[in-house]
Amino acid sequence: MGLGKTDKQILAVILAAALALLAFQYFSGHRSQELVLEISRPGAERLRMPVSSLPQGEQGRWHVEGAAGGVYLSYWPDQGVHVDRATCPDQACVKMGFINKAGQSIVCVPNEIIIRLIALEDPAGQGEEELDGVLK
Amino acid sequence: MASSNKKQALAGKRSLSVRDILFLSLLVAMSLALSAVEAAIPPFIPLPGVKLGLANIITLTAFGFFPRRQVFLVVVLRLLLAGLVLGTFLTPAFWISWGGGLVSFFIMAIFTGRKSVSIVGVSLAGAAAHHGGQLLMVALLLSNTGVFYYLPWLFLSAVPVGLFTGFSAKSVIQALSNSGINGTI
Repeated sequence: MGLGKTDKQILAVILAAALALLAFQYFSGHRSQELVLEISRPGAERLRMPVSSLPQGEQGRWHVEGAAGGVYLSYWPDQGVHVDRATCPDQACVKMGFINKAGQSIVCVPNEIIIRLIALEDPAGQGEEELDGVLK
Repeated sequence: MASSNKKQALAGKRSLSVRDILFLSLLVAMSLALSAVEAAIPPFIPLPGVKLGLANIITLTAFGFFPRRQVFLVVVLRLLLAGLVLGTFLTPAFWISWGGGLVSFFIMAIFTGRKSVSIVGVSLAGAAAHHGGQLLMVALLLSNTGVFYYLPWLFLSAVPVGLFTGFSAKSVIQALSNSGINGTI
C-alpha cells in the first residue's frame, strides 16, 4: 500500500478515536431514563418535551418555526421522531429519517433548527416551563 | 525529490516568478473544479454543507511543490472562489467549508514537513481534520454541541477519503514531476 510506519500510526489514531467515541456514545445511553425531545431554534428559547407526551402519528404533526421557514415534525411511537417536511432546498433533515435514542439529533442548517433526543435524569423535576411546547 | 530544493528557494524569496504564479493559479482552478464536482455529490451525512474534501488532492499537490505560505494562498483562494462559483457565498455552507479548509490546512502543514510521514499520512490527518473542522463550524454556527454526535462517523469516513485523496495526490505529484513542470523554472 505504500504506507510508512507513521502513516499507519496516523490511521490507527483516527480509527481509535472514532471507535472510542462510538463506544462512549453507546455506553452512555441512559436506557432507563426518560427520553426528552429538545428543539433549539434561532431567537427562541429551547423547547423540551418528554417523548411520551408528544402527539403521535400523522395527525400529531407539528410545525417548528425556523430561519428559512421551518420544519414539520411527527412522532411515531415504534419508530421515533421524524422531520416530514422542511422548507430548505437540500432536505437533508428529511433524509435523516427517524431518531429514537438519546444523543441522536436532526440538524437543519438553513433553518438553524436542531432537534435532539436527550435523557433527563429527572424529567419531572425540570419545572413546567421547561417541558412546555407550543404544538399546532 | 527535485521539488524540495525549489521549495526551499521559494520559502526564502519574497516575489514569485510568472511561472510560479501560473502554476499556483492552475492549482486554484483545479481545486475549484473538484469543489464543483463535490457539490454535486449528495451529502453522506445529513448535515448540509459537510463535504468529503476532494479538493484536498490539490492542497496536497501544492504542498509537494510550494512552501506553506503559497499553499495557504491556494486554499484561501479556492474557498473564496468556490463560494462565488457555487453560489454559497456567505451562507452557512460557505463558512462550513472554511472551517474544514483552514483546519485541514493547518494540520497538514504540521505533518507535511516531516520525513517519516508520507503524503498519504498527511492526507489521512488532513481528511480527519477537514471533517472535524467542518463539524466545529456547524457547532459554532448553531451554537450547539449536539452535532458532535456525528464525529465518530466522520472520522471513520475520513479513512477511505484520506487514502483516496492521498494516493491521488501522490500520482499527480509524480506525473507533474516526471513532466518536468518543476524542473527548470
